This record gives sequence, structure tokens and C-alpha cells, in this order.
Amino acid sequence: MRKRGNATIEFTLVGIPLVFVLISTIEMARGMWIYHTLAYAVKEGTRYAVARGQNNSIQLAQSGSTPTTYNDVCNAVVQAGAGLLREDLTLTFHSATAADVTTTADKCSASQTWPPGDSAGVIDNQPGQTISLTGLYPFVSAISMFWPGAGKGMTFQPLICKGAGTLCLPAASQDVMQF
Amino acid sequence: MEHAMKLGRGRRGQALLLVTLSLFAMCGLLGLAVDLGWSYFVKKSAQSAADAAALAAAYQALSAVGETGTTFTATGGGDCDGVTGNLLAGCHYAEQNYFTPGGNGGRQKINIRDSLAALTRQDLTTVPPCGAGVLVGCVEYTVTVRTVETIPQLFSAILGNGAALSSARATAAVVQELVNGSLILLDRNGVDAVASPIGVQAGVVVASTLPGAIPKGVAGPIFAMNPVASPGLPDGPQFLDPMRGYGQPPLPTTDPDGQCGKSLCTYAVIGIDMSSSSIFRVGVDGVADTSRDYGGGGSPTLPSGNYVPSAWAPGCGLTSCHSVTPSNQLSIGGTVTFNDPSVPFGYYLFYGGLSVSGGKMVMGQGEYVFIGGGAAGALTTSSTSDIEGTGAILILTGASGPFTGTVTTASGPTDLYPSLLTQINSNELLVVAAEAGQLAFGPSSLSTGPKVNVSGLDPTSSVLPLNLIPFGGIVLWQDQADSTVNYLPDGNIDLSCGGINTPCPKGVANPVLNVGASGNLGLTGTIYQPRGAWINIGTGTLTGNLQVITGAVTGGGGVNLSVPANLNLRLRRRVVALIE
Repeated sequence: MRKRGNATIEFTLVGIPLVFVLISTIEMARGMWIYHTLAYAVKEGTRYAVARGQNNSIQLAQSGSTPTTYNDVCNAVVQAGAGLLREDLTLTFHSATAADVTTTADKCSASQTWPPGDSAGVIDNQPGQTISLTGLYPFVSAISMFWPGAGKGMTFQPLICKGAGTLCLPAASQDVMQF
Repeated sequence: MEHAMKLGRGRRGQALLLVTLSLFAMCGLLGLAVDLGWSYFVKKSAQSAADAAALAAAYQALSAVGETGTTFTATGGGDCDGVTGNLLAGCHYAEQNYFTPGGNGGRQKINIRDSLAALTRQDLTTVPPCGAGVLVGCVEYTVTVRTVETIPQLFSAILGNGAALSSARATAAVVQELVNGSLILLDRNGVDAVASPIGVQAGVVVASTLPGAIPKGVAGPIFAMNPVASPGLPDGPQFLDPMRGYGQPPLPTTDPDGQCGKSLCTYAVIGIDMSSSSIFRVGVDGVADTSRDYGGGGSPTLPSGNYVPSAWAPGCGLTSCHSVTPSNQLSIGGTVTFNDPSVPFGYYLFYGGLSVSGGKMVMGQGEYVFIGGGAAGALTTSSTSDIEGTGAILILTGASGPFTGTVTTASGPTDLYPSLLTQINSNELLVVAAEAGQLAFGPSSLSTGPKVNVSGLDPTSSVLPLNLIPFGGIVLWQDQADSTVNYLPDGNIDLSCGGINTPCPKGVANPVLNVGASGNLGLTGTIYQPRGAWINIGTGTLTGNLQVITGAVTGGGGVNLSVPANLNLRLRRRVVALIE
């Protein structure tokens, strides 16, 4: 009878770290899921741009299609990244000489072409030029409940990933313009 | 106590039940994780296999046809176990990515198809086929590969879904890409680029491994710095001569208007000035037909043909009256129009070179070949020259020395390109001119002013011969033989002495193309001077809507180049690209 209550104490002692490990495992898996989704999505967006971004005027005139814009690339990213929310997904567009453009995927310009080219000496859209796309996606982890001071937020990118226990998952893809 | 024991006994077996039930759920979740993970892995493998197969098949097709070939053929294709040729080669590349027809227990399938038609991508955007008037932004040949693998399911099999599909699709195409760079420096002979400053909107491409090859004072991007070349590999770096392997711009093998059989008609300019002299057609035996004077003494419109200065006079024999010498450069002092109404695209060959100083030269669409001229130069212009032309290619060429024997490829200079030798050998007057040393090349001097306005070959023109389409955009072409390195008759560099960085030397003096204009050069398109030749800038700043391929830039002035706004006049190369 002296063993009475031991289970409760033992469960308490073992259970807390066990639950922590369990939640950590789930959260890590969820984080990796989001990361891989993001990485795949960014890669697909880059592929979209290198295969269509030259925006050759002759091709556009012949095919009746419209130039590839920031929004087209954003759409390609979001379509490949199932579950990624546009307003949370931050994309940075980098090309050879033009200034980087950073925007969330719901505010991508539908009028400006990317990569830029054939104006004012900028030829970032020409085959052979390197372009890259970087994605940042916030990941709010339940692990933060165990983290002292998590209320302040663990932010790598304070302006983009605000909030308690928010990690910013980055993924980048680089490729060479082809067509 | 007894009650408590009863209770304990009553709970026995519950754990077993709970674990058993939860095991189902856990196994289901485990199965789901495996299913999704495996599908994801297969999807990536399928994409890699499709990419590799499509690119390999398209590369194979391109290497079979070549950068300058005119036609691709599509077999249609099908499943990988039933295709041949380049499509089979593509399938082998898929195999390297573990995708084989019927592979993985019969669960894999690969379909490879090629086409010459327009391509509709999965997102329903269309890429048009190349054709008349469309050369850039179109596809010449496409290979589309679809890879599919059926994946047996663990988790969703419980729900009746026994199998899932992971598939991928990729399309590679042979396309014409615009070549980057306003100025492409190919020098491998130790000539430093010293012109300063150089303003190049679309950048400088430096393909030399030699120290000092990088020009100073560049305003514009520099695409490739030394060392970029792979010694011994002519096709290694992408920034080598974009026109390599193209040979010389061809001449017709038959007279386009059918009047002179298998070669162009030959015309003797009695005197020097084409705008005021009598011009008679000459038979293959070198005897002139004086019944019609094409020159007529005033502002003539001249047909397609070989033009050679001659002292021919009625009653004279060919050799006794033909007094051409290396200094007999043709000239245009008044107005001369080159436009053959019976031939929409003409060929005009000037033996002994041409000087346009103060006169007006109107150029119809055509190929203008300036041969020899010796010390006087193949083409000489001045700041008062008035030259107008659209869709014209100017070719500077010549032999490495005067002829001492008969004009045959065996005993004459072999560095005249074959189609030009054919022209010369077709007419006795041309043979005499060649043997007189009139065709030895020399420095050319382009000193142009505000009245010069010539644009290069228009590759979309309906009258442009098919074999000239690869030369689209070229406005000035300096013969590759006009170089300190040896070129083969087909226009390729003689690499028998070593690699691309140590080509066979030619051992001749290297003529210079002097471009002495201050202000607008007046040429639009591409100036092609491969190795050894260079532009000698004068004291002012030269501007032009040009892409210049040259050995090096040297001289005291500046250069300010912007690529032609007309995409058709820009350099193109045939490459393989992934287009979806």
C-alpha cells in the first residue's frame, strides 16, 4: 500500500518531458513539412521564371500570351506549395543587376515583369543570366510554450516574422535563365 | 479491500484492448507517412528523369543537325520501349535516374514525344514554332517526356484506394537565343584591349585567358572575365565566338537570275569609277559583250554579279588589254544603286576592293563582298560617304597573298573560301584579276559620317536565302581567313596544332579594320571580326547600335555601343532550353 501515489508522481516526473518530447516531435515534423513545402514551392517558382521569364516580345506577340510578371511567379510558388498562405509567404526576387524586390505573395505586382530586361540596359531576363528566389515562411511552434520568455518572440526577421515563438523558415532556389 | 481487488481484476485486459485499437490507428498513420513520403520521393525522381530525358534527346537532335543546319525532323515518338534515335538516347538518360519502361515491377512508364509544332504548356500558355518571320522566342524542335509510376498504397488501401500515381512532365526545346553582350572580345593572340572608355549597354564578354584582355574603363556589365576558357575545348565556355562553326556566308551556286548559268554574271568596269564608267558583261572566256552598257555613264542601277576593274577595250585580247593591278580599287564617285529587279536578294562582288569616297551607294537587300584591294583596302569610306542600305551584309575578304599560279585550290591560295573560288574559276577575267594579285587582302578603313545608314541582314525577310538565315543581323563580316590564325576552308579554326587557345598560326601580316568615325558609325546589327583583327578607334567616341565580335579593341578613342532595338538584328545562337 506504500506504493500508492507512486504512479502519479512517476507519471508527473516522466510525463512532462514525455509530452514535451511528443510535442517537439510533432512540431519538428510539422516544421520540416512546411520547410520542404516551401523549398519545393520556391524551386518550382524559379523553374517557372527560367522557362518563361525571357518575355520575348516576338514570342508574346505570336502566342498571344502576356509577359511573365511577379504575380505569375508568385502564383507558381503558391500553387506548388500546398497549404502556404499568400499573406504569410514572403518572397525575395533577385536577378543579376536589378535591385532585389521583397514582397508577400498576396501583394505581388501583376503589372511589372520579372526578371526585368530590355530596358535601360538591364538584361537580367536574358538566357544565361542567374536569378534566384528566396522564400520566408513563419512557423509558430507549440514548443514555444516551454520556452522561457517566448512572449517576446524568437524572430530571425523581426519585421516579417512577428509574434511569440515564431520562427522564419527560409528556402532559396537559384537557376539560370533558359527561355 | 476486497472491493478494490475486484475493481483491479475488472480493469485487466483493458490495456491490451486499447493498445490493439490504437495500433490500428498508429499503423494507419505510419502507412500514411510512408505513402506520402514515398510518393513525394517518386515525384522528385520522376521529375529528374523527365528533365534529363528531355534535355538529352533535344541535345542529341541539336548535335545531329548542328547549330547551322536548317531542318529538324520529328518522328513523333511514343513509349520508351518503342523509340529510336535521339529519343532512345533520352530514354537512356531517364534510365540513369531509375526510370525504365516497365521498371520497378512494371509500375513505371515513360512516354517521349518530339514535335516541330507549337507547344502548349500545362498551364495552357503556347510557344509558337519558328518559321518565316519568327526566329526568336519560338521553338524549332521540342521533346516532351512524361514519367509515371504507380505506387501501391498502405494507408489508403484500407479506404479502397489501392494505388496512387506520381508523375512528372518536362519539355526541352531547341530554340534560338539572343546572345548577350555589346562587345565580345575573343582575342587569344596577346593584343590588349586598351580603348578607353568603353560604354557597352549590354556588356562586355571577355573570352580571353590572356592577362590584360579585360578592357579598361568599362561602363556596363562585364559578363565573363578571364579565365573563362577551358583550354583545348572549343565548345567549352559559352562565351566563345557565337558564330563559330558557321563558316563563311555562302554565295549562290547558280546565277539567281539564270542569265549566266552556274555562276554570277561577271561585269567589267572599264575604268575605276562605277558611277561614270562603261560596264560590260563578260563571257566565261573573258570577252566582253559591248552591245549593252550597264553603266551608261550616269547613276546606274546595277544587277547582281561580279564586278572587276578592267582596261578592256574592243579589239583587245584579254591579257594584253587587261591591266588590272593591286592598286585598281573600284570606286563610287557619283550615285550607284545596287538592286536587281529580277533578283530580290542580290550578290554583289567587288574584286580589288571598293572605295566610296564622296559618292552615294544605295544597297538593296543583298550580300556585298569586297575582295582584296591590297594596300588600298577591301572597303574604304570617308566622312562624306553616303551609303544607304537595309538588309545588307558587307563581307571583307581576300587572299593571304597574290596569286602566282593558276587559281585552283591546289596551287592558289586555299584561304579564299570555296564558294568564292568557284566564282573566280568560272570566268577568265576573274582569273586574270586574281593572278595579277588584285585579291590580296589589306587593311580596311571605315570612316563614316552622318549619311551612312546600313542595317544588317534581316533574317525574317521573305527574300533572304535559307542558307543565310544563320547570319541574320550581321552587317559587316570580316573573313575569318583575314586573321593571324589559320582557318579551314569551311570557316572553322584549324585546331590541329593544339587547342582553341593555341590554334595554328597563319604567318601573315594581320590587317586592321580601321573604324575612324567620330559619332554615329551608321551601321546597325553585328560587326564580326574574329581573331587578330580589331577596331582601331580614332580620337572621337564611336557610337552604334551594334554587337561587335572582335579580337580586341585598341586605339585612342572611346566606344559606346548599344544593342540593336530590333531583336532580329541581334546575335542568335541555337541552344537547348527547358521550356516547362
